[in-house]
Amino acid sequence: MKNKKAVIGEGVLMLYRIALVVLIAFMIIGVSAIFYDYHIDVRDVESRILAREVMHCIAPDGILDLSQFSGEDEKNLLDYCGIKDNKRFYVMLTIWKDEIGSFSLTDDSNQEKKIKVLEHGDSGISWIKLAIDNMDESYVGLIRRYEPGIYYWRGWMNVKNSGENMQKGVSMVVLTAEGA
Amino acid sequence: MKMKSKKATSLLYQVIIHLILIALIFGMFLLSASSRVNSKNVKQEVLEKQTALLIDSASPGMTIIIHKFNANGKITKLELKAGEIFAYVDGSGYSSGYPYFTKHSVRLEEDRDNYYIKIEDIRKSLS
Repeated sequence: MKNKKAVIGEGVLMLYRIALVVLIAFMIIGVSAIFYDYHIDVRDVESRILAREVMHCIAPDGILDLSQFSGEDEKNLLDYCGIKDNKRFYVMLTIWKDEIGSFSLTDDSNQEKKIKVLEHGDSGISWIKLAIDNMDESYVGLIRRYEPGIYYWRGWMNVKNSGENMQKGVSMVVLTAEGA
Repeated sequence: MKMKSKKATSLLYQVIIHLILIALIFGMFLLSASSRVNSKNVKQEVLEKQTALLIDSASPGMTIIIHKFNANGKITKLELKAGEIFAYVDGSGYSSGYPYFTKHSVRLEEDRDNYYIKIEDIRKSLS
């Protein structure tokens, strides 16, 4: 004849032991997850490749003809170029009147110096970039992996505007958010 | 005497059940830890991202050849689905995939030793 209380006690003890083993196993998994954590970042390279593709698309012969863009195309540059999976990107291409303005993701004060701005995507990606750039390095840590990849280019191009061919300053910024 | 032997048997059963449970838990733990430690996932991710970048930068007419046995292990399956590339290395059953953004048409073929990713002009592939 077994004591009922003893049976319950044994059951509780067994549950407690199993709970302890599970806890230890999860702790080891947690620690190994931190130690073996990895992140392969190719977003800067993607930004660079996309910038090249956009350049080939808008100026295939080396001349950027501004008459080819309708109002819709100016805001959907990647759709115009036939680039399908484009939700991760923000592209801004600026054609300047005289000299190329300073690079800024947020400053809109140079509007009168621009001939045209072609863009695509959610400029909100740039805010993540700015927030991380302005953060103290010690706070960034794991957030760094959410920082978008960036490629910035500026130079002179042959631009055809209102039938006239001239050299104009062009700047381009491509931001790429995390893929998967 | 009989009573004592019954008690001993029940204790033995308890210990066996304990051991089986602990072995099961640690088996699951080792399985989960080993997939991290043997870096199968890293190799898979490297392969997916490298291939996605190659697809993005390729021009129409190019063919990317990927050996089934390569530095990243044996690629058991390679898939192109909804603008993403999925690679399965050393019999792995899960892949999160990585998106590519090329404007060209992409086609995957395979033979005994290699995978062939063919980049074609989208207008040509439609006609």
